[in-house]
Amino acid sequence: MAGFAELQRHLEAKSSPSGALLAFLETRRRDFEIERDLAHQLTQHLASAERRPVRSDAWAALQTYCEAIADYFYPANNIAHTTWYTRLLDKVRGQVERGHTDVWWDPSISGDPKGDHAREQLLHLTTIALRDLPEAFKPINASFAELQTKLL
Amino acid sequence: MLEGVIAGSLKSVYDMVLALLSAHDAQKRNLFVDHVKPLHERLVAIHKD
Repeated sequence: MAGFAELQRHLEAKSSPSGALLAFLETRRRDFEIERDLAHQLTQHLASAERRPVRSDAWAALQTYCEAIADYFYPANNIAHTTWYTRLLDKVRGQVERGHTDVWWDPSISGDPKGDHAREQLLHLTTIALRDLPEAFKPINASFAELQTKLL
Repeated sequence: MLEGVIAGSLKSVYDMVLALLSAHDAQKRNLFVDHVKPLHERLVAIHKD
């Protein structure tokens, strides 16, 4: 979540991001791809796990916890966020390279070509950072608490 | 630097989950202390990043 803070600052100031920031955000995009790959691999390992470190109800709780981890890194609803993020980066980078005066210009959210697009992107980013990401982490905390009661 | 930390953290989560799943003949408490708790702490750190 802290990784979005610099992007948020530029959106609030409506200032152009530096090349270094864009490079960092591109790296974060690659991390999303790594996360999805790891989640996929974890799910496969979980499904094929033959040795069970604990039995019965504790194993069920352990499975639920691992599934929550995989879902956090690759939930179905995260695809929309990733798509939005990828599109935003591509658009901003293109407009920086073309010397566009308003690098945040993107009417796709409101449909209004004269709207305050930096503010629209900021609202979208804030919703993801303050609502969606914490919400996505809740199943991990809940299953961790359940697993803790089974193991201790 | 930060990029390396992120990638390293994700890889470590993967390794930690695999270690958790492959642990066997472990006492429940040890499984929690040695695997589950450190894994969860790492996940919380990544979530905050």
